[in-house]
Amino acid sequence: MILNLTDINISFGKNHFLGPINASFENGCLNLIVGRSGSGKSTLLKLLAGFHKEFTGSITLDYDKFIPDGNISLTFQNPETIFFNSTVFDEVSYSLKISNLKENEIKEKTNKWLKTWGLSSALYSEKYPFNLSGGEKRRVALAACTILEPKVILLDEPLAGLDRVGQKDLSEIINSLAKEHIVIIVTHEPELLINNNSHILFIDGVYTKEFNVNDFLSKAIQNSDFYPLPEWYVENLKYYVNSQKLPIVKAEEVANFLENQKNK
Amino acid sequence: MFNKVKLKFRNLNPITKGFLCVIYILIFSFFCKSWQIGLVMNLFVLLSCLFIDEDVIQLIISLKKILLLLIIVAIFQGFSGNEFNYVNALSTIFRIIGVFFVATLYTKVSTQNELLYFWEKCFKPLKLFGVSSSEYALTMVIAIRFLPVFMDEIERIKIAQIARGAKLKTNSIVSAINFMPLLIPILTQAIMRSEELADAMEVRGYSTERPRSLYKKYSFGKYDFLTIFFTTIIIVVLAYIK
Repeated sequence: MILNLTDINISFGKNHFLGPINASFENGCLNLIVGRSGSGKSTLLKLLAGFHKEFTGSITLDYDKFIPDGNISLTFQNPETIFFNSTVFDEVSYSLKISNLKENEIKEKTNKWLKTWGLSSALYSEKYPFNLSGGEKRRVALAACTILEPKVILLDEPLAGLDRVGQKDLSEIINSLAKEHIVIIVTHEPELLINNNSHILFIDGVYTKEFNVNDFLSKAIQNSDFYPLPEWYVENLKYYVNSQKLPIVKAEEVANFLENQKNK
Repeated sequence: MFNKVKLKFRNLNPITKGFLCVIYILIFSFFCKSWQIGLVMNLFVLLSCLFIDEDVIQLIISLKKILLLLIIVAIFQGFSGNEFNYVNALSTIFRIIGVFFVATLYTKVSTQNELLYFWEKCFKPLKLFGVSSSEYALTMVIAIRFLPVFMDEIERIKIAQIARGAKLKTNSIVSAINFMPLLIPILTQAIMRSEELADAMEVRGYSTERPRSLYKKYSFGKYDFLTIFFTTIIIVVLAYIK
């Protein structure tokens, strides 16, 4: 599957806000949208979800016109935005209920999905979503938005407010979703999600550019104003910016890379 | 110059605004017996929008919110005799539209504090019977101000449904049925919000028990007297016509 954006220009009233954006997002890899606060990342997600209508240009899914209508899901930065049911079970199963599935199918799928997102149904099913911790709320929101497994999954800061273990768990789940769905993620911490076949769209005001992982890391190592990577990573890899395959921001990968370079 | 005048009329004393709102609602309810008077009075209200910097077109468009009510009332009023009475239906419609316009404009040009100030003054005589006027005024103002909050909440839920993959275009009856089970959670959340609001007010020292000072002093100016004078003329003219 491939989602193509051609000459997308976003405006608010008479004011041009962002664009032109030319980008393509595919399944099988994590599509990351990166940029400074207020640069228009979340607005682009809202446009893809059909909430922002003021734009020109065309969006196609597998070369057919893309109309967001039951084929997308969007998880907002603030997970509470999407809560409106009285229990976690009702919250997560809502999408299945409106799809007219049978009750036992709904129960089975919901319990399975809660487990996938690290929420035991015995513990969480009857809890009031607003009373959960920040990390639990995020898991419930992600579970609720992805249970229908639509073609396009849009995630706005999915790892914000989570502890390190939670971030690792969720990034694994998101990676597995990306195999069969087009997953587009807005993030301020791409280093937490980036893997070797990630695709990055960098947005900075009217300037937008697509990068593969190597080009993005190389540019960020050379210029911290472009994107500030962790200092330990930049310090260790600043002499290898021209390398054909830079390691992703993981200590183990960097250690292996440096070891290989020494042996050469 | 005209902008200054508009600002003056918009920022009338809260008591004048409240008083005018009540008076014009009474005028539309009891004096507009014929459709011609109703039409003229509605045109007068629309004309007054120019003096308080409100969009006339938007106000007219907002009538669609009560369109169903207008149609039902027109049918009932029109068929009250042997045959359909257009005059009856029209005069009733103009009266309802007038009340709607006046109430809409009043809430648009009044801040929450101004509403509170007016209702506190209205309920002041109740103090003689040991009833706290400020408590009743606050209850009324919050009740008015919570309606947009409810509307926002419904809009948020619609967005949340679409964000989960719900279809944008569904049959309105089906979507209404789907919405029914959500009414209780919406009410629960509204009550929780009101508790949060009460806590926020209390931690900032709000109490209806003690006398409170006002950050903004409201005074009567020439524009207040001018509007009251014009209103009096209108009442006299209408009484004469009657």
